[in-house]
Amino acid sequence: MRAHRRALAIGAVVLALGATLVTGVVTIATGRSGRESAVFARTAKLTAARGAVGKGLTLDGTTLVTRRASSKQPLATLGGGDEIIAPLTGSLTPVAAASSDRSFVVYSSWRQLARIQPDAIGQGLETGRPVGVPSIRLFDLRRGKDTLLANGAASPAVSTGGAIAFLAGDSMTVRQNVDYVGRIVVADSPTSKPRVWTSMPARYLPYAWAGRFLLVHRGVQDSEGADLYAYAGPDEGRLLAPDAYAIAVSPDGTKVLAAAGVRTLEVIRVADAAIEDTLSLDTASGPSAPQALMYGGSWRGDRIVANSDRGLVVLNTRGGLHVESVFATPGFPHGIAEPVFTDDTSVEGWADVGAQHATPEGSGEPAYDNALVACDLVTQSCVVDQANPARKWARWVTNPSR
Amino acid sequence: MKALRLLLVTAAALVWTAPASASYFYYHRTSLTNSTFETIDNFGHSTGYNRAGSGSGTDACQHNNWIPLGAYDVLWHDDNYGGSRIQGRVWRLSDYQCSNGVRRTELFVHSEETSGQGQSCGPDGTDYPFCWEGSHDYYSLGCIKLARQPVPSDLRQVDSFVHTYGMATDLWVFS
Repeated sequence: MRAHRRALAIGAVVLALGATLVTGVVTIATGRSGRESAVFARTAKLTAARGAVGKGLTLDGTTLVTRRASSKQPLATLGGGDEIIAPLTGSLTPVAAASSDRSFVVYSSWRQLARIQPDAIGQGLETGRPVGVPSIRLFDLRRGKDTLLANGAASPAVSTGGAIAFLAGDSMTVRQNVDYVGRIVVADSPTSKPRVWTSMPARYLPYAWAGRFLLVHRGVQDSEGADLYAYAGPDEGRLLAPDAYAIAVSPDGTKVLAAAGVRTLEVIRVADAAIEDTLSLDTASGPSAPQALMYGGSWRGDRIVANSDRGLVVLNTRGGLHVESVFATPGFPHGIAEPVFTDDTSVEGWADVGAQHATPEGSGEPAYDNALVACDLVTQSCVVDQANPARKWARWVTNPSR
Repeated sequence: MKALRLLLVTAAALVWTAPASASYFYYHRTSLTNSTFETIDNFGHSTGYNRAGSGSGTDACQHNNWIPLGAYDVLWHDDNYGGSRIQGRVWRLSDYQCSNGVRRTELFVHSEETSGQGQSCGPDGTDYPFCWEGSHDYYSLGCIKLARQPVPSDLRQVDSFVHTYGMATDLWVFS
């Protein structure tokens, strides 16, 4: 009897070891963990509840915060008196990006000059009136030191090697109804002198680095849209897609998913602008089909997650680019913005939350509070952090560069 | 002579106090591709309701989404605009700064036509920027778009109205 029990125990141990070994081999061979093979529902609703959103580096208004599983610690006050917001880009590019070694954070700040009258015609501002001053600043996480990199600058991007790119405006001041243009400048490191990468001024908005290429939205004069370019060096820009914005960079940095002409998604090879895959949203049908995907998504393995007018969309590149899942987000008026995969089944981002706050006379666009969000796509549940008012941005500090 | 002078002064005063002829745009924002657009002058004449669209998402305080609620200056109008992305009959709107600080800029009312108010179309299956193919053309990167087809089009109706009753000075976006 005892011998039989021992044989059973040894058998169980061997089986467990075998299973672990197989899992390990699969993981090493594919670069994926077992959870990635988790099947997401084709359509589902994400629930939302208050709770701890997990660990990471975050912005809480002007405060840089490090979060652990159930606690958070303020690290520094940023901005030198400016707000930590990015009025020129919104979520098109991150407000802050961390270096890959977590030694520094580069971020946008803003000094508001004009008083906005939200219910007045033209918001009470005449053409040419100074509205604000955008700046780029750097916080050294090791020394705890905050440095102004440039006034009259916006849209920073930090490479995996530590290079910093941003738009250096021709003017320090943003003015009402006047295009804000400038040049891309690139510094090889936080201590290097920036070099000009574009000799002609334009509304350049750097987004991220894809290996040695800098992905840039180049605004066109008569549209809020832009063309998507890849720059390899000074004036070495290649058009990747006209009327397009980047959604996510592939994990190896060789490809970018972009929305071109709003309704077409393209997987574009960064080195030569070749279109590797395409998906027309016009072919999608049904009430949950997205009308358009938003920028500020992320790419992990074969999957890409992005916000949309229908909620959180998961695309899959395996077997041809297709919509794998649509997660409705009824708890969030505008979905989950800037979603980033933190593992194979979890996503973090931020969202407008709660009831809208009307403008004084009720004719302007209402305001929403905003909060950090973390979601599990398998259990279809999200936790939501404390809410901040509209101009006190709550954001994860990540980096879309690869 | 004195009576004539009095008459002239009275006539001049009447002209001075009469409202200048002007038009106002009203956009009832209800969906990305199926909202309504109306043009009214300051004497109450109206185009009636035209279908219109705006944006590719419903978060007005992010770029490329539908136009924020509020009152806009119509900065200028051109019947033969020759821009790189939009052409023909266009109206430029004032910038808007949202409650979260994000600025919406380069906003227009327009359609899809050439600077000569024509159509530049190609084979089916491709969306040509200066050709109104159908309902999907109501999507935009933030601007308000009116149909260019069938002829006479909604765009022509609005353009003819403002040329008849007075140039548009304001746009009101409401929900």
